[in-house]
Amino acid sequence: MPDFPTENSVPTVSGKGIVLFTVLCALFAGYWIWNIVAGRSVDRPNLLFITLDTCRKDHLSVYGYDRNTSPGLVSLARDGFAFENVFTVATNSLPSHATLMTGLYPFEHGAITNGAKLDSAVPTLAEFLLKRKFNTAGFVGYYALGEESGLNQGFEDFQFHKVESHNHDGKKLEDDIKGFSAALNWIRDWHEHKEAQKRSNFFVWLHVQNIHESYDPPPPYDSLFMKVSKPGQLSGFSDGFKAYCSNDLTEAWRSGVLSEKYQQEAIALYDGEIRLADDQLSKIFSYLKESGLYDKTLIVATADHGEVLFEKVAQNFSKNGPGHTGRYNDVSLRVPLILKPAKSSGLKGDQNPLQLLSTLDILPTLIESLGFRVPGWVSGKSFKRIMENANFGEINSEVYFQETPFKNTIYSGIRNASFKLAVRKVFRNTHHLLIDVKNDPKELEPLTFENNSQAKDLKDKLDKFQDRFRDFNPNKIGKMSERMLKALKDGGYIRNEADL
Amino acid sequence: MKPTSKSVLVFLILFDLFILGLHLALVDHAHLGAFVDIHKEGNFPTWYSSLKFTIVSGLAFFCYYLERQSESASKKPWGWLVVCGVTLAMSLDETGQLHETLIHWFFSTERGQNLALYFNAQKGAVSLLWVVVFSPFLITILGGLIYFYNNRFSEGGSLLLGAMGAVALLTGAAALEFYEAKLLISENVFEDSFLKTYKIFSGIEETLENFASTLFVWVHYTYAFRLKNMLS
Repeated sequence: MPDFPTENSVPTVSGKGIVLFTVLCALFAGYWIWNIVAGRSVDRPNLLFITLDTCRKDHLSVYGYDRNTSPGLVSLARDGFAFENVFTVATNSLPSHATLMTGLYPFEHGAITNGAKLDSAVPTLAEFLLKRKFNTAGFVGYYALGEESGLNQGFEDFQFHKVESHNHDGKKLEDDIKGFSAALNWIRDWHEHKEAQKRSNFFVWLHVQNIHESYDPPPPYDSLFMKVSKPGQLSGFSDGFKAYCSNDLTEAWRSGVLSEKYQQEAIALYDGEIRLADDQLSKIFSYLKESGLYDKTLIVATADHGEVLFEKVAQNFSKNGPGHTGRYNDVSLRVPLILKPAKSSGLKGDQNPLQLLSTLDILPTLIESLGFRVPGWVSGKSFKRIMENANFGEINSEVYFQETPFKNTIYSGIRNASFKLAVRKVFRNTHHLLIDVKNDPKELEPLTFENNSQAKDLKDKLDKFQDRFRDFNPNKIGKMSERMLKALKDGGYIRNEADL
Repeated sequence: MKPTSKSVLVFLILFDLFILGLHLALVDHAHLGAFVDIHKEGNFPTWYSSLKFTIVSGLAFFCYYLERQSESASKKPWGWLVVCGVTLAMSLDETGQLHETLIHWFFSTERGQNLALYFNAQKGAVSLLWVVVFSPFLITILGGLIYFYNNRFSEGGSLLLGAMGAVALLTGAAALEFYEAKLLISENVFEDSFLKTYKIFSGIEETLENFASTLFVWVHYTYAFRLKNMLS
């Protein structure tokens, strides 16, 4: 038995050597793994979340608009994704922004209309990231999104920089871009100063109010796309008609006296506001590139809702524009979404995914893209897989919208790739609106709802959706401050306090 | 008539090759494919592998028993009990998919997400990263096995070579599994050419594991056979 071990045999390799080597390797591996799982070795990206209030997707050159309104976003989209079919859940700023910040429907987060307040018990993206070693800062340009709205939850630094809506005379660029400058300075300070409270990542939310009515950009943006008459002649306007004044514009349009020339002027001003915002965003992107933060930052730009300009809307549903009053119309519901991932994600950009998405889905996608597990309270679905594989199918067969803009008035709706069904409920009166969005993209010829086979499937689904907020009390809005009431009037949200 | 150690080795190697052949021949079969697919769990190749590790474990216990009977073999026999426990755990893991279950739970936690993010791993690839998560444990086991067999068969010879070969094959299989995870992370998993490459590596890895357990059976069986002869 030549192989049989004997007491006096000499090991071919030192036993102690093997033990020492094994222990050292195991300890090294353990230390390495521990550092990774504890998050110390994870190169987590920063997050810059830009919300372009009232920005229509079809007015951005990044989506093919013929005016060069968004060269900055075009550049951003080359490094990321410009989603084509994204729809908001609400067409008022607060409910929509609250959805973006919580991943919940308005009936779930409670901020159902401008002037309401986000329930403090509702978790927000800022709170989520603050607990996970992010420095958080928010910059808003409209009072209804300020501290009184509750959207400041989770932000270490939260600033309101008013963008003037109705004081048109002598408007200066520096007054309109305070929010952009504040955000840029905050990021610069965060990067350059090594304060004790500095954390490993930042989350900055920049709310851009400029595009919102009135469309009155300061020079040079007021004449960038068309020379505008200031003020012009129009029947019924004895002091002169001002296309850059939302009150004049609305009054003239709704009374049927607004000429094509003034309509084009107003659109050129609206586009000028977009270009103003884009130029300021480009400055922020440039700084991020210069400082080396661009590749380490997930940048997302979207809108809370679009805008009805001079499209005709169904009169039994909402008033004509300009404004975002057409709560069922795609020009109000469809929003841009440009998402530039961090370089570490390895995702290949310059793509335009076509999948049907809701603004509800943005928050879970951001959370997942930052390397966190999506929490259970979120109603939306992450579409990160769509970015990983362009051929990935739909994550939503349909999207829903729901809001309560006025007392006793509930809007809700459902939209898939072909049809849209909107419901407007005022007290006990219910109106239905069915639109073939595939064959009637301008939404000029609503279909008959009754006995329509297409409507049945949508209505069944919408009924189930509505069941979720049947017990929700839409009139439960707390008392507003005088400042909030003024802000809502300035924003064109209320003409009559009895509406509230 | 007892089978010789050589015949055991030849028989098991032939059966390993039979399993591989069965996989190659029938993997695309509509009904039998899943049953013989060596990439899948809970099927014939898995049960075969699990059975072999159970035999390895049983033989290790038998070696422990025989060494206790042997007066001349005075090296601490409890080492065999450790080998018995480890290989039994490997057998249970094969059939019970324990590490797969644990790893899925781990990657649902925030710490697991950190690891997935570090490796930029998506679903599918994360489950193969179990090698990374358990690496301190795996290193300890592999190091312990090297220490034990090196000590037990210290004069060298075919048993030491066989045991070290088995440990090397297991290490190679673990390394390949990590490489497969890296492949899944870096490549377009939806391309056919990639899937073929991935399946080739996966097949090699499973075959290495099978050869490793075969070598363990042979080493334990031969050693027990010799001990038994010596005692009688």
